[in-house]
Amino acid sequence: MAALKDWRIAPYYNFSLDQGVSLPSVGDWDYTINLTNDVGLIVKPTAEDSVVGFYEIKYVGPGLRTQEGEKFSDRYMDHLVVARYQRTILTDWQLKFQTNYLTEYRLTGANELWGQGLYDFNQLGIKLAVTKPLGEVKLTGGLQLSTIRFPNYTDLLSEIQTSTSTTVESSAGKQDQNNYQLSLGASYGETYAELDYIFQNYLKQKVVTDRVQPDGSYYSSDLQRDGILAFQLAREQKIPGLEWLKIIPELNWRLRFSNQNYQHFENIGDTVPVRYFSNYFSYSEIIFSLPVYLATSKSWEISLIPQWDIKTYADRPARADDGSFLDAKQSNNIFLITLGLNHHYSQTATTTIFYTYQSSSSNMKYEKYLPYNYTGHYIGFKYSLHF
Amino acid sequence: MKKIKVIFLIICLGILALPVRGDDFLSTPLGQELIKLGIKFINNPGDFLFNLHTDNEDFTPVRLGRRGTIRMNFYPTTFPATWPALNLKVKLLSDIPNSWPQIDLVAEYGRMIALDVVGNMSAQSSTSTVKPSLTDYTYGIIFTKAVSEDTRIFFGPKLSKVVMNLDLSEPVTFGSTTTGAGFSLQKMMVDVNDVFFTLGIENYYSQTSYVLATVSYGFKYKKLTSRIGFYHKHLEVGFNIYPEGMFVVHPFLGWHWYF
Repeated sequence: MAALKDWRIAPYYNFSLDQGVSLPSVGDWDYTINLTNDVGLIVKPTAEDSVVGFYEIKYVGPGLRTQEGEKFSDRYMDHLVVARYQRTILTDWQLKFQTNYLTEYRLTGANELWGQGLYDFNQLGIKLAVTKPLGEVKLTGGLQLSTIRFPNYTDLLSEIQTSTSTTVESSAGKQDQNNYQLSLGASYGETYAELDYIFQNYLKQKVVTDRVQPDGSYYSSDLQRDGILAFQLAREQKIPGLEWLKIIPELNWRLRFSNQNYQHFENIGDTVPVRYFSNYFSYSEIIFSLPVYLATSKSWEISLIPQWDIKTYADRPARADDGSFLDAKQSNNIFLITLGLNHHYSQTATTTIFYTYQSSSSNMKYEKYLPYNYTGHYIGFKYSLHF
Repeated sequence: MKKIKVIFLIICLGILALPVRGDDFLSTPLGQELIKLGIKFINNPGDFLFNLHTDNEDFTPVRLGRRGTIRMNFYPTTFPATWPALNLKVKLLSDIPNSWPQIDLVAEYGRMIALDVVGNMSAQSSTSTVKPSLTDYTYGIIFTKAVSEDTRIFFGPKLSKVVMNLDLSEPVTFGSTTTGAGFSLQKMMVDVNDVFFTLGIENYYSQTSYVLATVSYGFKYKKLTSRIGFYHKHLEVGFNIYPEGMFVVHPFLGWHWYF
């Protein structure tokens, strides 16, 4: 190993803040802030070894949402720490070992306190990956193990329905899970593809059945087991003779398989369900984005980023606006388009003025608690410093 | 007399400067909106005062090639809140390439003049043993490392504290508390302190001018704050971000002297 004075050390820093006004067609307007700050250090003691330490703090404020199940007023804060060791062996094999720890705080109400959110979680992960070039193709295989714990989570509905002294204990920890992820990736020039499979194992959440069990509940003895198959394909497309134009198409396809079912209760406090639905949580989702960047000068750039997101449930029925279940399966469509004007006023700093239009539509018309059908506008500016 | 004093105080806090002009104004939409802000302030006065205190702070490194800085924030603290503060930064150690980072000691102290005046005005007539006051202070240490000719990265911990004492012998009511469209104020004791860790980057675009961005995280309240500032020879302008604050964005304007 080289002497300490010969080590190569490079810092990394990224600050990004976007703020503006979001105007949904339903609900109230909001002032939106999204903030990300990354700091890291890359150390190379030798030509074959490198160590990366990285910390990120991220805040996502109220605003338009692209994930189902979130309200406009929700916000969250992440703390992520990553340590990675990378070594080159046998000339061109690269081994990576990574550990990461993520704490996420979530606020879903105006008077909640940070750290007491129902869906706060801590995630600890380790990852081992191998990369090997084969001609012009670079292949990567990886295995990741992670534990996710929700320290504040409890099944509120179950607590209300049973209201026994043991309910609080038995309803806690139902979101805790251990996950295993297998990854296969390949890159060729400016094209990248990756296939992942995630085994999601719940530690306490039992599978709902359509029959009353000996303990009086509708939970069987089987634990919930989900699987997610994800495929990603991306390419940075440059056009010969048009160096000022860059297109980065990206396709993400995700299939979720869940053995969990759903018992529908008409009112909170009811103990007898009115409907049973099997395979309620399995779905497929396709997201396609087509960012286009036009450099109008050395420091000015126009960006146009359209994105389509189609999510279809395998067996979950859509609902009418009065809450009644329909024959059609639930399908959500989101279309987003962002127009931005970027000014790189130094190698380090960039300012962007942007406008985003969002259209969300679904055959899910029951929107008492969550919005599914709306349009929205988000206008603001983004400021970033990067080294 | 007491209402006048409290009005004076609230004006100084820079919140309800406009609405307190009579009951007619309080019933207008703008008046109602400002009463809502007032209620939000009453629900958690410490958070808003702490944000103003953060406007007063200057937790950034001593400028390249200088030994120290004295700094005052004008808006929104000295004006309109009559809450001036003095920031002092002293460089202990210069940045040595491939070795030690620059090390600065930072301290800040401020107090609200309006509350001191209110305290003196009511010293003889008041039955309260609590003298109205609002003070804030910060101290910390900053480590700074140049990563290129024009860019430096810095980080460091700081202790921040705001203390406010206000105890009136009779409550003062704004709007109607029976309908929920108003609030009443009699006693306000605020003692907020937290240890923050700050990360930041600064980028010079001339010998005397630079832009910086910081993010600070408080461990006790899990509070996140951020600053984007443009620093010139003496003038500094920018905005502070308080994602969960009563006002999310606080524009600020400060003045500094290097030595």
